[in-house]
Amino acid sequence: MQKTKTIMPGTKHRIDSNASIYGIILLLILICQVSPVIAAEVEFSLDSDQTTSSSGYIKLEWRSEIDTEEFELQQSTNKDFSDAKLIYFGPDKASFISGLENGVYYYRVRAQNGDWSETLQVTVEHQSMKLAYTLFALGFVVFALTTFVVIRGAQSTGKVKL
Amino acid sequence: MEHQSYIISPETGWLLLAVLGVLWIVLGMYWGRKAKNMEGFMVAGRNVGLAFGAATAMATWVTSNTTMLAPQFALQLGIWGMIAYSTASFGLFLFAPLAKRIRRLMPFGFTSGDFIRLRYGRSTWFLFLVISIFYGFTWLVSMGMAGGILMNAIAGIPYELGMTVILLVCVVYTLFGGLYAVIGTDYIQSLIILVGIVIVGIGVLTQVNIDTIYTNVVNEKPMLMNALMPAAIMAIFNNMLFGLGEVFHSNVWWSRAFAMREEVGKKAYILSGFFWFPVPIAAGFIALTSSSLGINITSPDMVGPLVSAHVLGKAGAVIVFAVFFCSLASSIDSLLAATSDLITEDIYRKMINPRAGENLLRKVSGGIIIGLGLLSWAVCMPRIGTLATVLFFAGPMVGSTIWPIITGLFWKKANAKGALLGMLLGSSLGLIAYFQLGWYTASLIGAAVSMVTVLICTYFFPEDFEWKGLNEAHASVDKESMKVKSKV
Repeated sequence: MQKTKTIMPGTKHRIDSNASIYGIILLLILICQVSPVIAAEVEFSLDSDQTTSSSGYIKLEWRSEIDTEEFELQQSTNKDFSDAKLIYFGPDKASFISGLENGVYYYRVRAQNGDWSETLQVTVEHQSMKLAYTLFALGFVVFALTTFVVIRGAQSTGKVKL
Repeated sequence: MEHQSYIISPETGWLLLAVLGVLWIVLGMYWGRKAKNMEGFMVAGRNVGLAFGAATAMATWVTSNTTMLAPQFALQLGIWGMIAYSTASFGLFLFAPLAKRIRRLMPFGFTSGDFIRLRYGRSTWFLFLVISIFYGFTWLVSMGMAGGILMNAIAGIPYELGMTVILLVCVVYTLFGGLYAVIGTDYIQSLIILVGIVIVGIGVLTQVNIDTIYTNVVNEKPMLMNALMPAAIMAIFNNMLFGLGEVFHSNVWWSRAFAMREEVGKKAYILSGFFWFPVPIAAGFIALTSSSLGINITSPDMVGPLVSAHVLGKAGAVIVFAVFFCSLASSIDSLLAATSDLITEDIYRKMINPRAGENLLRKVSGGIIIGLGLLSWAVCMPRIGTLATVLFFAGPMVGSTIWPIITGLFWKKANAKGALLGMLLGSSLGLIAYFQLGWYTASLIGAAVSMVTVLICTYFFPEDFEWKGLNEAHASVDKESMKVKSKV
């Protein structure tokens, strides 16, 4: 990166014709080397930049043009990422996040030294406790009656001759 | 490709795959020599003892869905999710008395479809076959997918190749040995699974501090430790009823009930339930360590294999590879055999060619095993979702069969109207719940609706069923042996 400073526009150094050719070549080489980093835009694979979860978990996937670099995934509860937390750093292109409490979470990802992706907003709103208790009670009743029918049935038919 | 970090090299992975594949094929063919007739091929001569009986039930129930889905439950739903998965052992416990009853009522039975046809008639039987074959197929697909995912994550073997090899190995030895081969290989596989899980458990506990895990989960994934997590509370009885429905209706378990000696079935199923119960808890626990170990999980169904292999290192990864291969193979072979029996017996022999002789039935059965393998392979090719989404789609249908089965076995008053409507309404409303509320409610709704329907129909339209109607002779059963067994 140091070399790029010598050929940046606005330099006050005198440049002769040979030097300018070398300079252009060098610039092209550097553009070729640097461009993948600049072009390596990372994007979340979800269709929308807002999504919801009713169970507190979500799988984040992202796309990038380069396979070999490392990615950095951040989570925050503020849109400006003032309390950003590093969730993942490595070569994978997905991360499964779970155990989230009710609230709004913001995620962004970038390739190493690259630009941050668009921010993804995840709203976690767990199912209602009323529904959970209702289904728990219903499940208990079905299970208890099933167990009763099986055990009672086995006892009453066990010794009966067919 | 989402995941790029492999634990063992593809070369080592291929070597392991080859060794295990050849081992199961050789052992399957060795045990399968006893399968000289359809009675041997489909129900292992009805003479399976306690050790093999308990081992095959336990190994079959330790599927990819235990070793891969139980950790996924823990990662998604926390502590309750882990416990919720272990409640599937009630399926085995409660099937124990059913197995005894089944063997007694149907000494010459072959499939669960036989029972539904004789007990409730053809309309209910058709619907039951649709449900049972659909469920068997989704289970098969979920495990084919699991094989591909596992081999890719651990050894970097391409998903398509790993999935193809495991399906091929299971098709080959099931084809040659039928239920004899399945039960024999299950016995060895259950030993490898149990020893492997103990090694993984010790490995995790020696390398990770419980306090660290707890602190990390509370800080990073607080809802996983919350006892009042709504989705987890809903999942407890949903999973329990899904497990009950799976075991109660599936021919995988009925074929074993027919295969075990009459006095063995009940004990074998209770024993297998006790052996199975701690497995999902152990498998689920290691999922909770993933965060404190700094392991990135790209797909929730891979958390178990990834953490295990990470903790135990490369040498340990070989054990993990073997354990997961065994858990997959022991279930795929059972499903291939049981689903093929169901189609051969209930569709081909009962509907298409009632006069088919033993040789023809054996050929048809073999063709169906190959066909099932090919169809599963084709559906597995595009990786269509996580294991949970694939398997639990069958949940409401499976849940709706519980009450038609248990009342059909124990209540004379249970009738076809209740069974048919119970399965139909339970499946429909359960599927609506699957899409409207979530996969963790579908089996519960399916079972509840079916129960209410069966109870109402039994009350208003009571039947007086004659139990002797279930004792049906089979063309391939030796007439003399039938007479002797009937006297006994």
